[in-house]
Amino acid sequence: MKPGRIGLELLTATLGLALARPGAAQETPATGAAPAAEAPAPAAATVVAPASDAARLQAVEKQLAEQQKKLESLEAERAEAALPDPSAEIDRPRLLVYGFADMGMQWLAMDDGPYKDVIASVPGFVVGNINLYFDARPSPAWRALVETRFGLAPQGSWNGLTQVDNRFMDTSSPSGRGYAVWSGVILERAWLQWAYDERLALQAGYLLTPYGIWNVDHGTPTLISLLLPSLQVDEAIPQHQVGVQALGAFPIDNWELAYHAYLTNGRNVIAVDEHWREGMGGRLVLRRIGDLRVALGGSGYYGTFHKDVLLAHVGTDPVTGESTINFVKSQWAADGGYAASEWSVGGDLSLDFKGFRFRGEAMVRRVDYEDGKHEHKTFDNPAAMYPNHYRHYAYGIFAYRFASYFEPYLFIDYNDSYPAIALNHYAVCFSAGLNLYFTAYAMLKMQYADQRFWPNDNNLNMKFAAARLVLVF
Amino acid sequence: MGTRTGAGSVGGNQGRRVWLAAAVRIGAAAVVVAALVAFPGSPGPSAQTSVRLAVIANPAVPVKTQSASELAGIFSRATRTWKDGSAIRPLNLQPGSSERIAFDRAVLHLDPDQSAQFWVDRLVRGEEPAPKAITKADIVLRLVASLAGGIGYIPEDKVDDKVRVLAFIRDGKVVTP
Repeated sequence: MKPGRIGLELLTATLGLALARPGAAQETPATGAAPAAEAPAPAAATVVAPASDAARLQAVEKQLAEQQKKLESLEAERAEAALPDPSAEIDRPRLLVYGFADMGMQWLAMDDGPYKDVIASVPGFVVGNINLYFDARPSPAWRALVETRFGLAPQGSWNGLTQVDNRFMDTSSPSGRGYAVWSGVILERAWLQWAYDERLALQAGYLLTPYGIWNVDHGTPTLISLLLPSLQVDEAIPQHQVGVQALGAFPIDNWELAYHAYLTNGRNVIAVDEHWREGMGGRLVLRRIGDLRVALGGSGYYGTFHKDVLLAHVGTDPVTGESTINFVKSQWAADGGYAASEWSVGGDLSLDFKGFRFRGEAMVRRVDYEDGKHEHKTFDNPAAMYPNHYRHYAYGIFAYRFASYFEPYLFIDYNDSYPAIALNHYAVCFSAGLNLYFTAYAMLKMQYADQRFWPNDNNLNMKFAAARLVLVF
Repeated sequence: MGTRTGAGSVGGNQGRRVWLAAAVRIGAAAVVVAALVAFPGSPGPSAQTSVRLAVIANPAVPVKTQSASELAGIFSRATRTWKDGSAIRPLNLQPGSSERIAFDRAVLHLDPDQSAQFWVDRLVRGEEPAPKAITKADIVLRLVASLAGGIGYIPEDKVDDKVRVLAFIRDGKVVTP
């Protein structure tokens, strides 16, 4: 039955039901209306004209029951008709659009040191993430997911020694002038997927690398902390990669063993020259569903990365005598290029029990440069080069949600040997925060952090405070 | 340990930061107090365990019963195909309904807040979304009866012979027929 017809019948039935109800006339608000006992008898009762009041009441009740039944039936039919064809749920093309956004304030400050003027030292308002997901499922086996992030970046960000100013005169405005900010759209991921079943799916495209907890949870509504752990800031494993991935999961009673394996361009996202950018890695995670929810994961990555520099060789054609110019790839780091291989291995643990949540990750990264192709330091000593090195990262978050709405948490983050500074230091970030959940889809997140370095020869200690209003839609 | 703690800061900035830090703390405290006043507190323990449900499936599905863990796999979307490779089409009831609360607690071990967060997390991660939520048990019954691979749950007293009962949920536990 078509929804329009159902709607018409529903309206008719509702009207009939309203007329048939003995007290229907009394539902009309009427100030100073006469008592019910004094009201004239309903017209329907006159038409039915039963022999006695009892019989008349019985007839009306019967009629009422029939109308009620018909109304319920029509309501059910209308609700069903409003649904897509059940088989169409997964058999027909469809596109879902959903996302999340966060806006708020933040303050990041250094007491002293070479970078203090780069870091904002007064609180400011910030447009955080405006992420939209375009989720297409043209058939049961096929899926495409594109996640974009809108924002004001790169406006105001540092590009070398100057801040980016992307304001431009908006000649398309009705007044022919006025300024607008040309802001960016960041691609978070874009992949195409074919799935055999839950045990095997293949993806190709721009992947959000499956490692640890943070990069998988990925979004402000899902992450407990606003502040990123150092392994995420430093990209101990590249956050995004272009390539192919196989993934799947095997449920075993209350447990599930999930895997990811990928082959990519590695840290160099775009392949435009003859380098074979080998990047490969994977993740295994064992999850438990139940009162105690556990996820124990391990991630690994191997890849190479490089930066090429072309040198222009100007010469003379021996035959024609004309000037020539040839571009040759530099083999020396002194020209600014570099080449290295790296590997990273990490483990992670998630625990959820009633209101308690724990998230923890640890990772080690090793970088080996090719001889003569070490990377130049960028900040404090550009003449120096990065040595081959290990770095270690770890963080833990302890959160407890109570009274449905409140989730205070503690966050501790550790990393060492940032090669731009020195190899014999370490840094610890102590942080506390509070998440307020208005609903599952609206929350306010607040956090304060104090990052300290040992030794702190470069005066890098910093403080951080932020608040973000987050909405899922 | 050789750590500086801001002793070398410029005086004017130091004063401003102290005030700023105080303002941030006061603001945070105000938000907490306001939230405590505005929110009535968590929903108390409910009587959802008294809800008796039947987990029903299309008669053509290749299973006779389903255990609690198998149902958890299906309704968390971890398991998406029946044993014969055909697609599982799970149907939920509306969040907040007594049946949905009882089902989520018994099968997924999730309270309403946790259930909502669970599905938000999955969306943000780019994983499978929650099974479609249907407004009425009567409609679930009719859809499951007509939908190949369909599975859902309804109050026990609404079951008819057009669907197969795979499990019952009684006293907060999954019981096989």
